[in-house]
Amino acid sequence: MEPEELRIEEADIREVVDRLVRVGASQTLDTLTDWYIGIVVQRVSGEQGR
Amino acid sequence: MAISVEIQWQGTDDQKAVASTVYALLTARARFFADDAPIRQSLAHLQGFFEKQHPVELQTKETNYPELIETSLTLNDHVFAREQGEDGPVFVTTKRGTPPSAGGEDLTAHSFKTRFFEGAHEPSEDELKAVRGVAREMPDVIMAYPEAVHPVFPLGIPELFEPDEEPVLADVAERVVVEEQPEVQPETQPADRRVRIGDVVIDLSENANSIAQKHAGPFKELLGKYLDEDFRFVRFGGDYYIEDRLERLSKGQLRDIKDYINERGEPLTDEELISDALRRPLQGADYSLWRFTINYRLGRERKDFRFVGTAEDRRWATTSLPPIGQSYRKPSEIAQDYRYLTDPELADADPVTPASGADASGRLQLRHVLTWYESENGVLPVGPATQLMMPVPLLEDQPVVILRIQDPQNFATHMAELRLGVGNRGTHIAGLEELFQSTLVPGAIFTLVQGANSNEFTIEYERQAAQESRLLQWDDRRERWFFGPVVYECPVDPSYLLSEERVGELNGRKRASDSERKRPDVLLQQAFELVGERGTDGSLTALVDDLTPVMNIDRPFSRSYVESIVESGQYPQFTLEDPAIGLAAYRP
Repeated sequence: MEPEELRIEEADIREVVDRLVRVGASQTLDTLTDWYIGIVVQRVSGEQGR
Repeated sequence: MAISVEIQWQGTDDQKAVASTVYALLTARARFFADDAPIRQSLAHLQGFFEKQHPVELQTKETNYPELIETSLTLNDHVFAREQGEDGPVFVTTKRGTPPSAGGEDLTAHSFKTRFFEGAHEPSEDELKAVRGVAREMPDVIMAYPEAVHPVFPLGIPELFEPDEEPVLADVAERVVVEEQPEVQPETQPADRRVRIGDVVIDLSENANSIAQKHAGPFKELLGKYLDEDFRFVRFGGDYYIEDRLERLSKGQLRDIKDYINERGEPLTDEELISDALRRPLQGADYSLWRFTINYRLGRERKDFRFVGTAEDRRWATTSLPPIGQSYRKPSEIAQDYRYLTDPELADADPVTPASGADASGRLQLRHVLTWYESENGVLPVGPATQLMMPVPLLEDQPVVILRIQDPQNFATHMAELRLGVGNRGTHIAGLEELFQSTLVPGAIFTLVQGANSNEFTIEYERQAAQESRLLQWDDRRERWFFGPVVYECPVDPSYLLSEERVGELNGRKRASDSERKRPDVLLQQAFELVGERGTDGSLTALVDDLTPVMNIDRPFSRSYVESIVESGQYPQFTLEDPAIGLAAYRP
């Protein structure tokens, strides 16, 4: 079965925003990408674990 | 609503009193019973109650309560029915004041339980889907459960759940589960967690670090595009933050920053602006926030500010700050003059090599011979090779990067501009007039070495014994060329040293006019006349290496550019006689 195209979800971006606010300083795109990958992996594993 | 019943009691006064008391006792206990629900009480319990409580003051002072109670209730058989229980007689009545109907009448016909299940039936397949909220057929993996098991029970539950009744159903459920599990196996089948970004397929079941190492590129591109369109995020260079968390700069603060930069007269770092113009501590907890704020906010004020720094050295200039250096030609003219650098075939590759020295690891250096044009205008060409050692601008549309060039032999640091070429404008360094004119002469050989930061350089040359030559100079007042004595201590390339011996014919002549400057064939013709050897047929011959320095008086030319003019065929008066040694000829 062909894998679905990954779409950025609002919940994931909201988590990125929350982390930026908690850190309190600007971050590079590399850092945000690492955060985002972690968030997506966690969400997908959580969804399928339910 | 309570029901009051008028009952005609039978018997003596004592018997009436006992019967009515028993009736009141039973109906009080059965307060929430149905009207026709039987209310039972054994004779033994009634006896115990009467003996302890003496609820009735008997006229006969009777003490044989069991007999009295039984007689009283039996006499009123229109209210009480007598049954034989395991522990003796039991009397039954209802809240209606009559004995419960015996025989064929269904006492549960109107009970809550009966009404709840009225019309109930085993749900069909379609009804089960409707209950689950499923409009269409779901994949087998999701729908896989034994049909005989109620859908609300997960598959694992029947093993633990042992109903007291209907053991047959439980048996069927267990059997079906055991039979169908090997085919479906919903618990053991690995879930497909693959996703796609463009053509790249990514398995999200892997570790996040592993995914980041393998597929950071597609994720970064996807996220970068999203963040640039999301109004909540703001970006300066490669850094992102949340817009509504940024500090605001008032008009007064912006004016203070602008005045401070203009007062200092040179581009300043963001740290200097925070600490000196805004008077905020650099050690504060909100320093990072303020640094991002000032860069982002000034970046939005394009009318007053322009960014001229790099990622590690963020510097700001005002639009009213004059460009660094005072070149003879206008900056726009110089950029136009260097347009040949946009053609890789015409831009000479200056020898860029790894720098030597103890602290030069990974740094590059460039060896260069200064031309007259470069010395007069304080500029250096930045060709494709030289570009490798230049700083990368932080912003996409940034036209200028400030460079800091150290001259350790004179204990001086000079500020210069890397002007980035756009369209037909060539990239070059400007603002080095003071450095070149105070230390070097046209023809000087020097090395430009990368510094610790990408916008820092060191200019190095071997100091030699002082020499004096009469070199070409421009008299601004008379607007004539002349030759004057110049003392220099740097090594020189003799072909680029425009001395009186080589180009003495220029003495007293005017510069090439603007129209002549625009025509390379005219400049080349003048160069032949200055340094060429006249043949017997009236033609002039010269080496391209000798022509190039003279061509570089009024306008910059690379050796490749000069050679291309000679051999292009566009100007038939010029020919390349010997390509091996670069011998060119001009036949008027």
